[in-house]
Amino acid sequence: MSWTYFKLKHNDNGLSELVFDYPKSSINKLSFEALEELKLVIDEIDKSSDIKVLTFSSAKKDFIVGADVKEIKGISNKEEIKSLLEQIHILFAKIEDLKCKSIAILDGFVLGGGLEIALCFDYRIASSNTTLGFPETKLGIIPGFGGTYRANKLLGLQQALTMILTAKNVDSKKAYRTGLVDKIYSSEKIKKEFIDEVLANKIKTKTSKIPLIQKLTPSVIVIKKTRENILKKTKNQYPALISAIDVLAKIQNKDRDKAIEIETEYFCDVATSDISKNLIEIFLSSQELKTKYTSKAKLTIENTAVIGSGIMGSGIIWLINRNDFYIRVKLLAYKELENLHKNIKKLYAFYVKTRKLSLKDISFKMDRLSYSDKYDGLQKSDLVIEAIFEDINIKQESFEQIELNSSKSTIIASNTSSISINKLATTIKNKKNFLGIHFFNPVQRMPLVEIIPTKDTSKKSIEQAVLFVQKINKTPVIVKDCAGFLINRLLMSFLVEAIFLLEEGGSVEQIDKVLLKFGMPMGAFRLLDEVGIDIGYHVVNILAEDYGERMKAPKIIKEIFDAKLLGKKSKKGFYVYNGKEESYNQEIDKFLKNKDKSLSDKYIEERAVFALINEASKALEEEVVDKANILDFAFILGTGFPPFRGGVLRYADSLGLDYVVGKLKEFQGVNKQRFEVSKLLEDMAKDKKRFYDY
Amino acid sequence: MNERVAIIDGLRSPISKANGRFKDITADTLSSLITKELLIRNDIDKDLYDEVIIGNASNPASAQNIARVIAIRSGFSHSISAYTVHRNCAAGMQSISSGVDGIKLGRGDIYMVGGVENMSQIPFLFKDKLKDILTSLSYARDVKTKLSAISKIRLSMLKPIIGVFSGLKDPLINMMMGNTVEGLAREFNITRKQTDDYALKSHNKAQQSTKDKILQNEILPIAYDGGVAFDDDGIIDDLKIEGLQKSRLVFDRENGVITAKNASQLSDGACSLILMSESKAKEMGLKPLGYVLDYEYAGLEPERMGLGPTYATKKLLNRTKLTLKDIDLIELNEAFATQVLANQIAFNSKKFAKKHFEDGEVIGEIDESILNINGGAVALGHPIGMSGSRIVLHAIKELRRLGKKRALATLCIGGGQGGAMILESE
Repeated sequence: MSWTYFKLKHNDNGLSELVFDYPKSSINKLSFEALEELKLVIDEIDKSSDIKVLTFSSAKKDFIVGADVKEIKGISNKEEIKSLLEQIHILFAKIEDLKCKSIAILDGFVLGGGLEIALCFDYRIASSNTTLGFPETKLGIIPGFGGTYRANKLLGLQQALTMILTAKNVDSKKAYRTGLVDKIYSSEKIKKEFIDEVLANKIKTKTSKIPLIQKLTPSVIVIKKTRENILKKTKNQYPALISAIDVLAKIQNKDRDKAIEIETEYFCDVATSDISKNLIEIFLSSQELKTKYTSKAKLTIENTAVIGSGIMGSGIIWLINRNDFYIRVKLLAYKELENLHKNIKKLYAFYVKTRKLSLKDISFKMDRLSYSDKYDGLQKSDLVIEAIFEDINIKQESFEQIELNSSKSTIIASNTSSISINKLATTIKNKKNFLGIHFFNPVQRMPLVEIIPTKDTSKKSIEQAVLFVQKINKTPVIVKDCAGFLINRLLMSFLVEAIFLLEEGGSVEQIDKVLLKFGMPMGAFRLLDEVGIDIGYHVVNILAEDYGERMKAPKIIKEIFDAKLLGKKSKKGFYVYNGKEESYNQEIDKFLKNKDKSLSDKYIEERAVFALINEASKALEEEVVDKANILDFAFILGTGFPPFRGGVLRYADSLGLDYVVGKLKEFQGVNKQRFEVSKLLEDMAKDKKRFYDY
Repeated sequence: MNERVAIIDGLRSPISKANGRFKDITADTLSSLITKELLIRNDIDKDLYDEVIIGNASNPASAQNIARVIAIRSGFSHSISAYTVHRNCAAGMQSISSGVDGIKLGRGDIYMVGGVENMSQIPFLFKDKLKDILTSLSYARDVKTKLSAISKIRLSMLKPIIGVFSGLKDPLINMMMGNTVEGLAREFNITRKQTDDYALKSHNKAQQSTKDKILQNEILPIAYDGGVAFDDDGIIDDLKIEGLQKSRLVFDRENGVITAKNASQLSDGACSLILMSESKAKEMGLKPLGYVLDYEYAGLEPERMGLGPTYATKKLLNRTKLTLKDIDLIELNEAFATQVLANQIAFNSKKFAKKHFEDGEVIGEIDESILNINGGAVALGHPIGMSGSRIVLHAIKELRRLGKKRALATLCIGGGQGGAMILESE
């Protein structure tokens, strides 16, 4: 019999080889159709008495990358999921109960449902570059094909919890250590030997690799501790994690049917929740962004250069060095080398501490870094990133030197955060090779990079910039040139609103608490302290030049700036910093004119968040980015806006756009210009539309 | 082939006192920083180089054939071959002469050469007895043999041999280098006062040339944990003669002349140069710093090794048919102040010439105003494998700066040898 998704080959020696080969696709995914066919295949295998050993492998590079996320996203009915899952559970149990011995041959990615199916086999053998993991909780769901039950049985509670809750992938070595795979095959010969041994029934019975200490620790204690940890870390904003813990708690000592019944119950709850839909949407946006800007172009950048070695410069230099590109550094003076050297070592310290890199590795990595106090040595640079002082004249002088000393094909990028890229480009001779590449501080932690082309930037330069940023493990998003670009512009509208709320009678602590509760990773004032109040004040003034009244700095921020309360770097800002402790800075009181008034938590949240929604809608209207989901994803990566809310615009959708517009109009009583409703937002509300097409 | 060899460019690190700024920077790292920078600064396709040759005396165990390690770490392709040369204190000059030979023989057109030494990182050694025990321990398979091996270790065996000192001892005659030079002081009646006076001048001149940014011209600043090294840190600023007089005698505690302050220092440093055939340089339109006219090495009794420059210079002048009058600048490596003074005397002594030279003719009187005009190793330090490259680089840069024609770079070599090289600016 011939199948669509699978190929089955019987050998004379009792070995049957089942190969998964999803038609017209570069990957194998567990779509419902493929699973239905697999059921028929397994039935046929089970009927045959000639088969002694069954191997299951993939015809693709990867074993199975998981279930089809889009399919999960499409279902919102619990009963529907339940009946689908029941079919899958019957199939998986059949594989597990096969009369013959079964071996899953793993390679590449073995993720989610892919790992769950592999767990049904008697043996798992993995190539040396196999990556295994349960990414489900990242998408707001839990393993749903019996993965919790089988991982718990094979790995023990502790290891199963770790794999499912962290959603981190493990390599074959680690998988072998924990017992997740039975053998690593580095060659076809080793693979064949293993299969032959199984055929000859020579494999010793497996001994569990669960450490004794873990076996002896009562599961109740493990569960309790893990639950406390997770609650503390996530403030209960990610229910899938708690569900996973609950499932593992309840399935201890339960038989297969009962355990899977428990898993299914929880799975249906989380899979139909808004949070999981939001997280899946974000995941899909991240996938979309990976290929959005580049067709088939290959990265040709090998030699790079960075001009400037300040905080941003040294962060960028480290990042590029970490990713093994040649890099030439233009220092203001050789004495800057001390700080650069110190910063780079500090950033590598983490890798030394976790033994990912030795001091010798780092020394050899740094061979790719050279430096000068002149603009020499740029002849071979494919990409030069300027990261010097934010002053248009100084930057343009630098560009002149770069153009003079580099080649015609060199791409020149500015890391400016506040100056218009089109304005900077006016003195550039080779305009098609110039653009903005904006990193965020601290470079090592911030995953987003804005790429800002001018009207003259060539498609090739943009593509190379995108590929380069991806290669150094950051996520690039292309943004139209405007003051503050996307992230700082949106973030500033939100911070400005928070400061106005302070002037009007809210307190620093109340406002920050409300925003934290909303899910922001940091309160507005805590963030301003972190950025530096001088820098915040500087940026808001630059934005006000372009956006007028709606970005005008509240008076109080100037007063605080004048009083030299600059934030964390001066140990005093909105908060006082004493070592690790921080507390409200009482000196701020004297700037507050409305201390006797009070604002409600809900009012504070809506004023700040709706101002942000309004600005986001304006940015979308001006096509600063081309799609709502990309804007949302970028803002989440750029600022830590709570992922479980799905993004700024998606959150607006969930509230209903008329409600948002109504509130914004109400807020116009505070300031008419600031709350002038975005036309796009108002039109969509009128037409009962939403930013996302559901 | 009789054309000269062009020196296209050269660069060095600051010289750092041993166990100081560069104590955690391995020799291969230090030289890579310099070599890589030369490679980048000079727009010569790196695949056009024929070979990399680096001089080094202490051969770090972690980087055997250090030249190859340096070549790859500096960014050369795997296809460019590399070897390390050793001629003690002249290792850094030997790399240049090997490059010159390669070019003159027509084996290649472009060579990256240089010298490096990190004396801070020369290891302590253990006595053979302990080594034998540790070896048998590592082969032991059962507890009993292991214990019996361990039980043989005696406390006295743990006293290490300090590698850097055994390197400064001549194995042929079992004499420290300093003791050989004390012998020269006796042979030429050189006093402690003359020695200290010379050392004082070396420090004062080095201080002035650092202040005038003359040395900076050849230095690439290097970052270390705790700062950036810009200058040579062996120079004692505003040194007075009293500062030298107080210093204790090291080798001959009774009647000697050598103290720690009037001899060169143990130091760390790296220097590299690009050599090219004169015709290739012309073809590529490059403006060389200068040219190597020729070189020569000579041998003599190990216990008189300090006179190496006299023997080598004599040989080289004869070979090139030049006289000392044709030389505008002299860099005579200051291994010991006493040893420079001894050579000054030997250069112009009729008695010496009659006894030691075949033709019986003196070399001539050294004009002090052209000798080590910016100080030398007594003030700057003497990273063994680097010095030979450094004096050549410095001589050629100074010829250019002062608009002079011809320089002699020469040094004494432990084991009883001398090396000399004549450089030309045009």
